[in-house]
Amino acid sequence: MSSTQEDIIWTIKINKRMDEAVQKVLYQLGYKSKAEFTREAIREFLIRRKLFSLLGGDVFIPRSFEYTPENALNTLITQLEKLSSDALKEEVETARTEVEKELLDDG
Amino acid sequence: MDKHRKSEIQSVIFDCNVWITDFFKKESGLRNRITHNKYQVILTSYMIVEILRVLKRLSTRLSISYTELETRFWEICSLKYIKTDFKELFTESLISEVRRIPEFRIIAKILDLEVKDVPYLVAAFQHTAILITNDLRSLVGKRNRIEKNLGIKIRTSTEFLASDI
Repeated sequence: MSSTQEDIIWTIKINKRMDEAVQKVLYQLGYKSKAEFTREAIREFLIRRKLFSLLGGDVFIPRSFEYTPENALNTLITQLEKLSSDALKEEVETARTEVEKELLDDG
Repeated sequence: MDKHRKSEIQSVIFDCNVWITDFFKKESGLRNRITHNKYQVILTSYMIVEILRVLKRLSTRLSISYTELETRFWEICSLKYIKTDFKELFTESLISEVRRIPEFRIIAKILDLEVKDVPYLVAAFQHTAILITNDLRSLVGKRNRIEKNLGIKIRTSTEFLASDI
């Protein structure tokens, strides 16, 4: 990775055992350097944290369902019907901006 | 499903607003059209996060549990005409999708779009899907250029219903 004026160089102190552990998995996972591995790991961690702030945690798809898809659809429709079209649009707009800010705002 | 029949199925993508205000509406012409014709509605991990975030906000407005709305949404994803475009764990898939931010930014800049619209365009391109959106200011307003350069069809829900695609 070539450096630009926007780049910042970190110097991180880690213990020998962690260094050995990173060395061990580095080539198994196909990373070219510790720096590349570290950048990727931090990026993934940040996305998980951001997902936590958006949805209150990681997304887990339930293993079993209580409703059939059709019944679930009707139930959701009945719930959303309680709100006006303008209120729904407003929430969509706000939610989309929030997701963009959390997930697409930085590298 | 044989190859010939599969080729008759048209993929479509709804933007978040279309899902919430149109598809999840009681008398929805769009849902009726999708249900009774050969369409598959594509959902990627990014699209799902947007929908779930809306549901989380709506759960507060409605004073009901978010988990309840979230579970209903995942149950709905089992409808035969909905195709979720992720095979791994959801979060892993989202990480893969969001890792393409630099590309998203370039595409947004070239097409003069907001970055948040780009994951929809990329998915529409990958699945040869029609993108259905009522965002007149952004995607619909710039669709001629998008269709010319990327071959992606963008329609409003009204136009989609009036057409025979």
